[in-house]
Amino acid sequence: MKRRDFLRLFGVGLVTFSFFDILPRVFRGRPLVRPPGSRVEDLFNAVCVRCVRCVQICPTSVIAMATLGDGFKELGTPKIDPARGSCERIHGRCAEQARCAQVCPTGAILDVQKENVKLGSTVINTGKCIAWQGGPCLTCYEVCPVIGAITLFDESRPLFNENICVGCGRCAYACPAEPKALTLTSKGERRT
Amino acid sequence: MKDAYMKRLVRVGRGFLPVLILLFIVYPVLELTYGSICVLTVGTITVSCPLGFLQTSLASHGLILGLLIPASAIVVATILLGRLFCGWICPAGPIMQRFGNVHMFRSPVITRLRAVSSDDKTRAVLLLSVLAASVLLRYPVFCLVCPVGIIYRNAISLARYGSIGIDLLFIPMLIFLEGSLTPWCSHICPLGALLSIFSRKNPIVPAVNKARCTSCSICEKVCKMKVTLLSGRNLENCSKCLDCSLQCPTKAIEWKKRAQA
Repeated sequence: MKRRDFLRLFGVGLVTFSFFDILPRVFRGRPLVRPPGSRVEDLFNAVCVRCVRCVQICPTSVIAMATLGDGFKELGTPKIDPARGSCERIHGRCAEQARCAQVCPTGAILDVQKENVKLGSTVINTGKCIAWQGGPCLTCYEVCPVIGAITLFDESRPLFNENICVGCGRCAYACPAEPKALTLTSKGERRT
Repeated sequence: MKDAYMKRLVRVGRGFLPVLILLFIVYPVLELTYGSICVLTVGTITVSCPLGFLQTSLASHGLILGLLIPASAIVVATILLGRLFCGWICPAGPIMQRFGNVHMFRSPVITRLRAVSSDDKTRAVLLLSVLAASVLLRYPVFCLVCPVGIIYRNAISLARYGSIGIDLLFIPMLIFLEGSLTPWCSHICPLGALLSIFSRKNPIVPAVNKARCTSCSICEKVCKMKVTLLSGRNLENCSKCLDCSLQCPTKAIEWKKRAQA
């Protein structure tokens, strides 16, 4: 192979992958909520080998595989999807051991202490919320495992405190409104 | 009669073994295995994709210690057995080989690209560009489009949630790429290129018995990995698929240790 052919082929390879890198910059999705103990986003995308072991082990099925809609870079990485369940790292089946961190072979998900876990926070859309529209519903307040994350206004309407909320997604999963009034966002997430 | 039976057995086996392994990994019996093929735990042993290890290490500008020993296990297996993975375990190989040799478009540009990419060194150059892209873009670029990973990821997602991702569409795209340019497994696949580097010295290779050979070159025509047996070129590509020795009309191909060959 001649040097020119080598450079041409090498260039074609690089340009192809650069093209795939430009795509997510143009179509940028909202930041994903990551499993508990994930590294910071850039390092996470670099270290994660996309083996979906965490998706397999998660007892609550809350960890889902990111698809093309979540961005090209994020393809195949784990994300927290509150439509499927809630993260029980704080309270529940994973309180003793972080299963996703245990099976992660690359260290993209680290086994951090329970007190330091914060996946993000829940945001409420009062226009869709049954309680804020005058209906009888306090489901989110009842299922919330963290004291003080949801407080009540006027004893009937939920208020969310994003500093105390750990982003487990239990309220968003349980929300009975159609479409859901609660969305889990990565706002305020704590990552190493 | 026995020959025809063997031929069919090998062909069916090569088609079904990857599917069986996939089903076994996705629905593990007695929890013997855990993980996808990218990082697989069998009992107490963990093996991992060496290209995944290289890419994540380069992308994170460090060394992923957790994958070091699992990846070297595969490297050792490749040194001993060659690209056995490509012929018998890789689920993408049969798809790529079955649908890949259709030349869908003809144009001067494609003909020229085909001429450039049919060089034996293409795969090494593409492997280099994948590794360079990992360093520059800071994510394991090939893992995202790797057909093996995509098939396993989506199979696991399907088994777990009943949903599949759009990334499955990459496989027809890759087949199109392969169809219009050059065979995927032997010339493009960066994982295959990496395994080829280590399988250079693998001891089990097919060798032509010159006394029986009629130089009909059927073995070269049937070889999916573009091994030219008569001149002994590209021997590190051999995936031990047994096609050459079964198709040879004079049974001139013998499986030997390299020292004897």
